[in-house]
Amino acid sequence: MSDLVETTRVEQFEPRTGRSLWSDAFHRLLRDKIAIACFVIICIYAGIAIAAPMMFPDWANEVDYDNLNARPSWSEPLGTDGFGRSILQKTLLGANVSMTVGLTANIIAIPLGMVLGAIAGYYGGWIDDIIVWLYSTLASIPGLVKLLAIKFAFIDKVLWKGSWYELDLDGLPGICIALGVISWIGTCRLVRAETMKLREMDYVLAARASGRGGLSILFRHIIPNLLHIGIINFSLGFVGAISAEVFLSFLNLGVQDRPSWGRMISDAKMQLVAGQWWEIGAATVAIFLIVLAWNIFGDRLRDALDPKLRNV
Amino acid sequence: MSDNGTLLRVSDLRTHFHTEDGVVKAVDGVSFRIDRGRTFALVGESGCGKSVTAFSIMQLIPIPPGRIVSGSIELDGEELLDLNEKQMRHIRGSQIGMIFQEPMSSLNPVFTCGSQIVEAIRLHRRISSRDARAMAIDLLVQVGIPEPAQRFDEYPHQLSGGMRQRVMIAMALSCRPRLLIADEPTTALDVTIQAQILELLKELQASTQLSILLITHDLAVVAGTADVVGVMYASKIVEQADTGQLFAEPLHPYTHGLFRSIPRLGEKKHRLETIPGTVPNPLNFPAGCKFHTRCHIGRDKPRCRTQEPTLREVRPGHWCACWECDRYETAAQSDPSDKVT
Amino acid sequence: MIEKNDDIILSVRGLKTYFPVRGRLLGKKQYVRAVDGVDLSVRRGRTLGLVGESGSGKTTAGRTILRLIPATAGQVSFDGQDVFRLRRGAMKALRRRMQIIFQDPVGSLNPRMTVGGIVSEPLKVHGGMTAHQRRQRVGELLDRVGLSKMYVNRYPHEFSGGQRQRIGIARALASKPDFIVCDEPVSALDVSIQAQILNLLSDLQDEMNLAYLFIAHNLAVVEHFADEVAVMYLGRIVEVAGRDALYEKPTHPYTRALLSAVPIPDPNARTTRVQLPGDVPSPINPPSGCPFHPRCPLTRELAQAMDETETREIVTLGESVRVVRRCVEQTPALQEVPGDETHCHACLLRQGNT
Repeated sequence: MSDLVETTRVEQFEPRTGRSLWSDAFHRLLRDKIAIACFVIICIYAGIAIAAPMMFPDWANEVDYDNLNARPSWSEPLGTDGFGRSILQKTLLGANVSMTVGLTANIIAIPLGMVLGAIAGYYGGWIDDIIVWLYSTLASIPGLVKLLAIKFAFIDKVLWKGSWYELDLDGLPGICIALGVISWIGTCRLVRAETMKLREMDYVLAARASGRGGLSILFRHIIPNLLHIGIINFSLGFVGAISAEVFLSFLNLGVQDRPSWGRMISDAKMQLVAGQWWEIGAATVAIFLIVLAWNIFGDRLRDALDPKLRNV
Repeated sequence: MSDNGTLLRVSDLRTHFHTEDGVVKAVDGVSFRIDRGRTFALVGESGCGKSVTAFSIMQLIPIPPGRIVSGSIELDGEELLDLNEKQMRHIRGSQIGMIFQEPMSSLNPVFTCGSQIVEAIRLHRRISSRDARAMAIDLLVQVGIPEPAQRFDEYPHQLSGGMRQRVMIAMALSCRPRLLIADEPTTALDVTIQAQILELLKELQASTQLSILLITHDLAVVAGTADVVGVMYASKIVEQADTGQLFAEPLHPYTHGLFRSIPRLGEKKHRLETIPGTVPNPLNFPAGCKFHTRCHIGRDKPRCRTQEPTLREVRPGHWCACWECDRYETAAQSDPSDKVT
Repeated sequence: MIEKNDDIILSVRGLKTYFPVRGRLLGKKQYVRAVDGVDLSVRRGRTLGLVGESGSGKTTAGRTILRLIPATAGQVSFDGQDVFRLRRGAMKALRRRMQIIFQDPVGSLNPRMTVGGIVSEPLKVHGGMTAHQRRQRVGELLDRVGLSKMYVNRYPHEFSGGQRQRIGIARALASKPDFIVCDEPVSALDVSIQAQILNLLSDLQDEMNLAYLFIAHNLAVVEHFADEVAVMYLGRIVEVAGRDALYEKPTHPYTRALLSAVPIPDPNARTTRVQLPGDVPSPINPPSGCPFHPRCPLTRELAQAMDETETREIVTLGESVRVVRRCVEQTPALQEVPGDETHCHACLLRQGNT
């Protein structure tokens, strides 16, 4: 009889297909106006990052010595820089560097951190010891020093597949690789701890009881329950990557060949004394907005995705 | 109904939670009273609103999303819902003590048990820490903790579950409250320890004229400890009576079903009777009597499906919210079967 | 009566499971003796109830038997096969026949998988079925445990505790096992749901001739459900008997105390309880001799009438008590009660000469 009651209830009131935690999280995000606003800002930045280099391909050469450090005006809404070039265009072009760095660094760091963390947490023993040793050692060096060290260490040519290729770690790819290589640690730690917890879950035990083997449990039962950590860290890692790029460029160790917000701040630091605030102002506002948007979006994403925060 | 014997009177309490998915009426019109030195038990399954009732009395409901929509809670004639947070803080601890299900998470792991009791004492009384320590050790003796002076300086994780629950009781009683709210006090404990704790509560009640609001899902615990029982289902009390009367003659089909579905010691292997279906989702309560979807009497009765019954005094002192409870006995026998096929 | 040997599907001999714990720095390596020498046998199509308080090692015993936790010592033979010695392939094949149902209806289902995925997992692991056959089988299984087939594409978080437990049962049944370890299958459920699940388990047993190892702390549930009952205390079995014998003539003082501590849902019930002092001791440093002696009411009682030489003073819960010397020095073994070979207990004071 119990079945009868349940069946009728289902047929009457409930949809046939359920909502997975993923689609559940997606619906929560859709209802979250602030998250949507942040996402829109991020999309606009991404759009600018793609469009700006196409719209202003010759910006670097549009030098105007009659108009150095001009104040904002109708024709130049954000003024001009020390070479008389448009700061509005410079700021828009800077988005490209930031977004590229954020994306590439995370594409390197997140999978690296997740794979290492999951392996360490799941297998334990000496494998765990090695990975923990690796990230503890790396984590004990201050981040900036590590960044600089990696950049300087690989500034020369490296051997690659039998012939000499130039790997110029001085430019944009250098920043991306250096950032990617050092910023997996946080993700790895989190994923390792979560894996150790998941490994003890009853459903993992149930899978073992029905004869599933080690690697297959890892892929079927553990990694799907870790993916949300990767996604959350991706969005939060973006912020770190953007700030790191700005800082490196400020120290003249970042990109040299194209405009970036870090270089703008670096270039403008002397102008500030002369009361010329517009270049530094434009870069700061640009950074502020994207960092804020990613931060809030990351938090909202965590609220929506983390199964532990459900039903609170 | 003599009022001077009543310590706590809850009338028409409604506590709602505003969630993303809609309003959850966690407590929806609950009334009861507790006399001095007596134990009132609220029994029900998870999600029926019994714990929310307790937290509403303490005004520990998280606001938002929770809100006490209406009702009154009088402690010794004083309306608690009119008090501000500061006055309420004074009431908690000094007038009403509370113990919880999980003694490990309700004690702070970084402080010794003793210092936590001392803190509870000194929150409400201006006494020296030496006096407070003496009082705390005295309390530990009262709750039956062996070697109290040593236990005083131990951390919660060094104690067993039963000992921790005793420490919790000592803390709750530290300022001689008149009412103790015990929210599933023995659920996390083993049977032999449960027996100890229930015995302790009874002894303390006898010696201090303490009133107890016992929240539990376990009818067997109720039988040995409570004087009056309210059975909660879907945010409401559906039946209320003296313990003896309720156990001798449960009137509501839900209570009846509960009694029949618990295996008892001394009963041999047989099919248990069941209450079909599951507890309804508080966001989506059925219309009419909330139990009718699971009720073998009311399932097809038009009145049960459309009109919600209210608590009425069916026998002297025995209240029941059911349209059909007068005709219950005969109906129960004609129930065909509960076979799961 | 002694059963024919081939009637026994699972027999456990001298099972021990120790977990190493890190002691103090430079200290001796210590062990949690979770299971410390357990003998059991489960008959085909029958239920053995394993009762004990938390920390008695009953859950660990169940998982060690299924080889989900490595055993320290002992032997488990399942239908003639030595479970601990099987190679990987043979073990995988055997897993088809022994399954487990968990206590926690939330933690036992992968939240990212659909009900269909969860229930069909054992079918996939063991192969030999097309996707269509699997779907059909999942439908049958859901139907059998009282859930609608419509639920196949839904996720665990959309179900109530009782329904989740049904999903867990369907998963355990998928590979058509002969033996299921039920690890407290109803203790996390609401009272009105418990009965549904117990009835379901008992119907399934009748239908499929399943053998259960039914682990529980609730003696009333075990009495209702089991054919034989074993009582565990600190990693050992202290008494084992047919259900009726155990509940009507409990012999070990721990069993008696446990039985009398069960609250009875009747306000007029007699309340002559044997109250046990203290808690279950730590399995890291179990008491010497009979592990129950510091809490045992019987040894205290008998010690009073005994000679000085036969008794010993021990300190428990801050007071010193006089107990029988043998209980402290001798480790009791399971022994039959005269006249009933199936009823064994491990109490020195009730064995032989007393």
